[in-house]
Amino acid sequence: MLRANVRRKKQPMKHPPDEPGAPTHWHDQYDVVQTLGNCHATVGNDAEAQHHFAQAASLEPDEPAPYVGLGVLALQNDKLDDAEVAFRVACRLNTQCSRAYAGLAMVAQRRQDLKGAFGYYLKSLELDTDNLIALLGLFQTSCEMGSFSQVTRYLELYLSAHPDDTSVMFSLAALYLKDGLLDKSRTVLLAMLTRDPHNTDAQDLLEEVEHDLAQTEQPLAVLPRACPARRMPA
Amino acid sequence: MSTQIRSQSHEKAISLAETGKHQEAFDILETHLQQSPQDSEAINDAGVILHCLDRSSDAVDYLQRARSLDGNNPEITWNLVEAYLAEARADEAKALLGEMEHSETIHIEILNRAADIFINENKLTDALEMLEWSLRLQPKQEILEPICVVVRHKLNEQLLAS
Repeated sequence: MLRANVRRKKQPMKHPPDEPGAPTHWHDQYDVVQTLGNCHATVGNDAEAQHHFAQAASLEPDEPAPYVGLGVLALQNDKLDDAEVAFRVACRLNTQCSRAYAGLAMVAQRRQDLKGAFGYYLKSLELDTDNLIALLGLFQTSCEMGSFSQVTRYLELYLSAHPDDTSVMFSLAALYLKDGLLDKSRTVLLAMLTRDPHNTDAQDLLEEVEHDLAQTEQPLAVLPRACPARRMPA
Repeated sequence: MSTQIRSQSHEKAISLAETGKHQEAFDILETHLQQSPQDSEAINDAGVILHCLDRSSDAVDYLQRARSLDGNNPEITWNLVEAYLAEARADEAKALLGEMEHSETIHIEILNRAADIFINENKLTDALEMLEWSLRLQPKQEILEPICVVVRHKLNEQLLAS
């Protein structure tokens, strides 16, 4: 007996004709198509994701998100030129698109253009202090450049909105230590270990911080004996 | 039915179909069916061949006829569901899915295609039913979870708008 399923040819999906007043077609809804693009990208179906992003871009030509999606796909496949073009289009469509600037920063970082990456990450964070990718990218770039002046502020801002994010806590604690702010570093690490008690990186860093603190506190411990803080009553 | 002895012409038609010569196979089966109009297996095979010739609408007629003659044959039901789905007749396909599950011939691919057709027709409740059924059969389908989320979201929108 013959079976239809094994000999079935791939059928193009049939769509009902669009009629005025008919409900909007599933594949014609920008948000759905864009969401599906993101879904496919998340699970690594690059070809499907690209198809949906391109479709989303054609449905809403002024939206930057499909181009950000296309840029991310290109970046994942090491097509840096394509990624840059896509992110630039997204920036042009919406000059306030934090993700597009983060994308440009990642392209620059991959090209070892650290100064460029730093600038784009900063721009991205100015537009959205919640952008974790930009935040961690800025931290990485700063580490490579040896310049931390602007990072701490953004890490603090991010943590104030996301007090449980231990990955950012560790970065901030490391920066405080580097800047000699040992008490602040210790506070952050203790908070981090409360949330993630088995984090060995945090344990090691805390040990280092407490060692430094002990060294700086030792002369202070001697000081009261030499100079009594309180005056004896007359 | 599979234990029936096939006629020579029927065997020849199957051989031709298996080598991709569908039209020739169909012509032979048509001649055979003029002499044996109640041969449900031959009717099924003619339907499958029509389906392979991208004539699924005609295939449905044949497969329905085969099913009316041999309603307990799960392969005919399966073929009919395939033809319905090829014709985007998901409602009719859905009506047979319970039977397919009972005969253990149901497969996630069928459910997912039915869901796709329902989505295209904006029948989101049916689509969701198909997707959830598919996920019950095979939970590790990463792509279906977000699609379910989108469908539920759209359903809520429709409910709020009504």
